[in-house]
Amino acid sequence: MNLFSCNNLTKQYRSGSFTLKDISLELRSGEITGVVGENGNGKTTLLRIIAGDLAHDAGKLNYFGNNEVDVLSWEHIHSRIAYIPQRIPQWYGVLKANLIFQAAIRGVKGKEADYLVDELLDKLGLNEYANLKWKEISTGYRLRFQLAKMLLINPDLLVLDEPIANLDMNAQGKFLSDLRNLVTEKKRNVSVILSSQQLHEIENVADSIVFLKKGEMIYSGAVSKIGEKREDNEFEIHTTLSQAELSALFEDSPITKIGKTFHIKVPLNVSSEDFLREVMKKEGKILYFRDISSSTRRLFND
Amino acid sequence: MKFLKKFDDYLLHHYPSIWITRVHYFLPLGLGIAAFLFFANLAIGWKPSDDLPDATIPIVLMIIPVLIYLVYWFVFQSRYNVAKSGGKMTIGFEYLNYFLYLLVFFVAFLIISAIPLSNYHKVKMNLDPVELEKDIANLNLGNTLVNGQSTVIFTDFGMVEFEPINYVYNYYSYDYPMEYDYSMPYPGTTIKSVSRNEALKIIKDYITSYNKYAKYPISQSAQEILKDREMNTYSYNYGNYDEGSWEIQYKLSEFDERIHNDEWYEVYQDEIFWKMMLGLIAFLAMIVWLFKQMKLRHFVIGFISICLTPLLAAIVGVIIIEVLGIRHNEEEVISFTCLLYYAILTFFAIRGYLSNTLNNTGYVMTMYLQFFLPMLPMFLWLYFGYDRHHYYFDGPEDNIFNTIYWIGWIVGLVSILAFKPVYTKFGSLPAKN
Repeated sequence: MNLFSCNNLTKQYRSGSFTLKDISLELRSGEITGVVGENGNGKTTLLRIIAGDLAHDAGKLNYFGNNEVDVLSWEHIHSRIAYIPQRIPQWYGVLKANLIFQAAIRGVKGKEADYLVDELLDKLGLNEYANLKWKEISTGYRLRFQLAKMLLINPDLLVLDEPIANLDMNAQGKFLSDLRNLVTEKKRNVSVILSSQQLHEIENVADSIVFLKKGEMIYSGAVSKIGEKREDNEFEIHTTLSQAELSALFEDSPITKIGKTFHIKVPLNVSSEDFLREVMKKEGKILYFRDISSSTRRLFND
Repeated sequence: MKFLKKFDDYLLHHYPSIWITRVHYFLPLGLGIAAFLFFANLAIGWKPSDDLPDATIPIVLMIIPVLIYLVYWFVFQSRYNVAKSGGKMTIGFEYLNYFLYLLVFFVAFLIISAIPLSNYHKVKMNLDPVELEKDIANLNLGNTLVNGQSTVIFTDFGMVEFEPINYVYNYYSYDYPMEYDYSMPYPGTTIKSVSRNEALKIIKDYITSYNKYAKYPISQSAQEILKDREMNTYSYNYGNYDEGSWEIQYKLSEFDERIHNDEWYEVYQDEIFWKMMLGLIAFLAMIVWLFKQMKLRHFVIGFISICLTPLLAAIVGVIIIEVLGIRHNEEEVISFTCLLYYAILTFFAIRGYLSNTLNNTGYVMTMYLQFFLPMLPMFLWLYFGYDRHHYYFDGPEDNIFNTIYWIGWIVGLVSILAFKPVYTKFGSLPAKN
């Protein structure tokens, strides 16, 4: 079921020249959609529009089974969406009390509220932090508590803006696996959309990806289909070989250097195994390698 | 504490919208402070010879602690919000919350009033009205003989003649006509003729009564005072008598008036005062209610606008009266201008409400309109019903005042019901930028 869809969505800010142009996408229940792109390319704008926090200028928005915005009130739409902005507002008091409050205002009262909150804390591995205060827990746990709070709303659409930006690798992994478990839960009928700069992690967890560049949607589709129609393969490599040595190895292949890493585009018939074999033949030591032929990473380089 | 903790937990689990008001902590705390101040001040005690306790200084001194109490409470109000957390409150709970806010402000008022009330109360407790009346009579009768307020004649027949002039100003008894001639003796004054022994007794009674209320008692004997009067060697040098005399005069005049009018608690027994005070508290509670309904940025702008309104009103008043020179029917012109403002505010509020995106002006104007809505009946009356030549304010019994006052209350309370869905809609609309 489509929980959200938009056609030719456009948004221009009154101040500044940035425009989000002709965005069309669908968010389905049981799926995670990642929004990627460089800073200032419209990720937050898009998420805010989806969450009903920001008005769009043109295009059509449909929520919860192709209902147009005019049919549903914004109040109703908001009641079914949980939006976690980049900066999570601070909580006050004991964390568990906040969650019980959240449950109680949604009509789950008394012991039922305790039961529901305990179950959720258990599921997200937050039990030992439940009686602490906001300032006593790390950023990663704050995010997971915020997620727990949002889940108590039982939303249909979960919108997360750069949720893993400030998390260490372990915390990122834990959080993303929580999200994956969440969308696959049978009793939930939720769709998740999240923005991030961590392409590898997002591609690992997401079912589909939206890539934005200067406000335009360069790619939107399944993660598995990224690079399906590509004309070459592209690799990232950090090696002891110099750029000249690599150029000699792969003639006519464009090479760019970003930091210590080379980005090389090779013909489609050159697989990653072939590529690595050639580098090793030249006794080049491989410090880092990634095949980005089927990753949105390559879109950053275009 | 254990009971409070349990009660807190119960409210959190069953009545979260009451739990967030934190009244279960702040009301007992405020009442406790007020009771402590009241009884502690009472325990300090008061004697009739002490100065009349002051009401102004304790009020001024308590303003800062009360502000701290209110700000601390308000900080809690900013921490949790049912609507902003995705929940819904029934209109019944909205009203309940509003009355709880009102109660908190009332308790703050009690804290401010605790010491003045306690002062008034301890004065009442430590004065015996019968004894006081007797003392006042003694002082009034002996005033001329002791203080030489009027001529005292010692006759050849051993009699003392004098005109008693009241020592205690019992203002309530002077029902002067508008054109009263103050050079005339006070109504009921007569020349008194008494024997020397009777005159000595009058002076003794004066001294006894006076010394009960004086910090600096009269140290001279009745004989010495009478001799002074006879030799016309008038002297005020009765110890520190003249330093404190006028204070005693003022103090006893106050007591006399309180006994006579049964007004031991002064302004606190005034109906108009209570009506005004409750009106003010209702407006403050409305501010908190509005704070809960609105997004912070819009609330702050609306609140600043409300605070600046008296300045705006003054500017408009100056323009109307001084610049435009309208002096004959200024009430009509000012009330018309105010009604025009209401119309403009209503227009912006409706336009914002009908918009599909968040209209910042409409949002703020709605708050502003609701806040001043209880005053609309007053402006309507000023414009349509007020007759400056025939209307005189008639105190607490004034029917017009009471009608407008209570209609204002009803309008204010109904506005909660009417504006709640408006704020809900404004709060859910997407922003333009």
